[in-house]
Amino acid sequence: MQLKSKKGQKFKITDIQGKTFLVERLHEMGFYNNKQVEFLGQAPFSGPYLLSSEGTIIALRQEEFLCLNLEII
Amino acid sequence: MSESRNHLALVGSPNCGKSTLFNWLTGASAKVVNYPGSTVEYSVGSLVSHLESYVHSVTTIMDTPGTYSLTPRSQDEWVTWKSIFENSNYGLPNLLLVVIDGTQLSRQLSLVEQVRRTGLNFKIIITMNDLLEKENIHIKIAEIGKYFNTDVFLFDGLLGSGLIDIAKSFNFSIKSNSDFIAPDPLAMKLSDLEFQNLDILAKSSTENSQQLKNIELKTRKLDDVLLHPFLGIVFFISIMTFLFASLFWFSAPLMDAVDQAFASLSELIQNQMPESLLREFVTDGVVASFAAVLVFIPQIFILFFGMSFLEASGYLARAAVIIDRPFKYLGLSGRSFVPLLSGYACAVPAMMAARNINSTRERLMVTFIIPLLTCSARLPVYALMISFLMLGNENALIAGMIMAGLYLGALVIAAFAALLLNKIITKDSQSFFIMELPIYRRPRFVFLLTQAMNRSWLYVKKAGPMIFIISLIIWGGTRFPRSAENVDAATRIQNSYLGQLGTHFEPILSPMGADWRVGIGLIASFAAREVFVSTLAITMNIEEQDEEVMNNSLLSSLVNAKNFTTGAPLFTVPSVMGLIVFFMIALQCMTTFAVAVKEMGGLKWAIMQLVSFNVVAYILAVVTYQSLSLFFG
Repeated sequence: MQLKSKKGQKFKITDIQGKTFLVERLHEMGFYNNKQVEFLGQAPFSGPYLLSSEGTIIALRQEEFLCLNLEII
Repeated sequence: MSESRNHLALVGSPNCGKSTLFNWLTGASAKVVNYPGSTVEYSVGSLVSHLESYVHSVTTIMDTPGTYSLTPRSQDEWVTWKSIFENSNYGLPNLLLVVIDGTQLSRQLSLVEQVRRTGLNFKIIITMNDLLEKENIHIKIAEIGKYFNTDVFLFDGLLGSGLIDIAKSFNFSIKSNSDFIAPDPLAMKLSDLEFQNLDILAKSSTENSQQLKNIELKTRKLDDVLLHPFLGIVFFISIMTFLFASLFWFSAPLMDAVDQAFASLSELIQNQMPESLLREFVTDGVVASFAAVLVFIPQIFILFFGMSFLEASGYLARAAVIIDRPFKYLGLSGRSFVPLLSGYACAVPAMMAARNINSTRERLMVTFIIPLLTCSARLPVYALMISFLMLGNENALIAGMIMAGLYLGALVIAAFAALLLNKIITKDSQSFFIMELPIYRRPRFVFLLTQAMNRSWLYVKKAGPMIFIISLIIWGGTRFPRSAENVDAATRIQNSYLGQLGTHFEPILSPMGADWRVGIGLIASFAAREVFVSTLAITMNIEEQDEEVMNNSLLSSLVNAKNFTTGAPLFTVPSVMGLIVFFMIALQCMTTFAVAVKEMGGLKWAIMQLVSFNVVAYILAVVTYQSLSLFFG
């Protein structure tokens, strides 16, 4: 998923692909199919992406973020 | 394990309020955290006395490190797994209390499902009820209880409501676990469908769930500033600079008070005890040593207070996210930030906090560089050295800035070491960075105060015996054998046991501008760094006693100290700078070495760390002294 998103953009997760341990950890952090997430921006120094999912804010690097297949809502 | 004994274990995600519940249940002063991994090893407590009347049997409660899942990935998560299923001290728990954050139900119910699969007896405790009630959100505990076929309790960590009901539920017939087989961690994995089912359960059992957004809103507003691409960096640098510079700014009056207290104590002993060798030992050895080190307690307290504040407020996790990108260039991640920042307090817990890092490679790198960071034991040394450099200049602002500079310098050195290690150690593919940012909460002042006091007290307890033993050795070694009365101070001390021993070290020490007295301090500092200051307090005071200059501060002793051979001042800007450089890099703490052996999985890396740090420290100290001597004559 290439990201040129604006802050506040909402997505639905359609699939999670990547290394098994990464997919599992993403599941445990509350990311799974059909889940809605909101893009909150990027941390300073062009750092990790910030996503909000039902009251939880999660920061993740681009590598992990790219495991999420997202569909704009 | 006795049959009449209940053994309970708390399990939950980081930031779920598990440690708060543990504190309410046991009354222990375990840490409350807003950051993953602060429960470095599991802690065990007994049920607090006012709850005992509700429970029929003796109950021990174990707090485990926060875990997102029962499929362990980080060292920390393995600690949780092993403390439950392979615990030789307490055996299997009779009851697992799965603690979940009521504002995060959909995410945290997966852990409950995994616990259910283990086959162990469990109950569910839903925390953050205060936040939920404020937003008029109700959780249908009966529905969750029915799904998992167990009891569910609501708990408010702020006021402790719900605690008695939880305690009452500890009364159950204890099943023998002797035939229990520990589950396979791999069998704990949930399918996509199971995750979705739990999500449905979370939604159906939360009334007014749309209000959950409000809880997050304040945090998001603050994050707009604190994680802003530009402002976020400004705040990060300001907060960190303020933390380290405030060690100097706020401590002066407190340090004066401690100094005064010890001066009065010394005077009291002088007046009360008859003149004897014992009195000399007590005042010049013991009191002088403790005064020299304990005067820095206010600074250590401020450091611990500041770190607790950042941790409890929720900022520490943000700091980790901000630093992630720069750290990536060093082969590290934001997850290394907390262990490294803890390294500024003490390398020992910092190395243990590194267990939270999931990548073995990164954990090794972090454990390796942690001793380079300015631990609190270096503080007394630096403070003394800076006071020397600042003589005649009372500007606390500059002194604070120099101190902040030393802290920053340590970071630069550590970064350089990380870069080197990044080249040497083979890369691993298991590295990732996914971090939950907890909501901002205003820390309870009383909690911060108690925590900082407890940690400072631990520091005193740790350093105390060492200071006493070393002061006894140094005092005896420099006072005996007694020379004749008419011999001058210089000869007397050179003839002492330590003086004779020290002359052998002179050839190594003189290139860095030190004499054997400083050398003895350096050797003693391998027991604990702060002992360097107390050792100087003994070796340097000898002259003052002879000249009948009583109650002279250690600082003026340093100013007046002369090289026995040349008669030139012993402490000069070049030699003091050389010492600072030495202390910045050298690995002098034996406890750290012992922990490093354990945490880095054997002697190889620990010895490499010990040797390389000390050799480099010595070489750089010599280079600093020699090159600065060219400028300062």
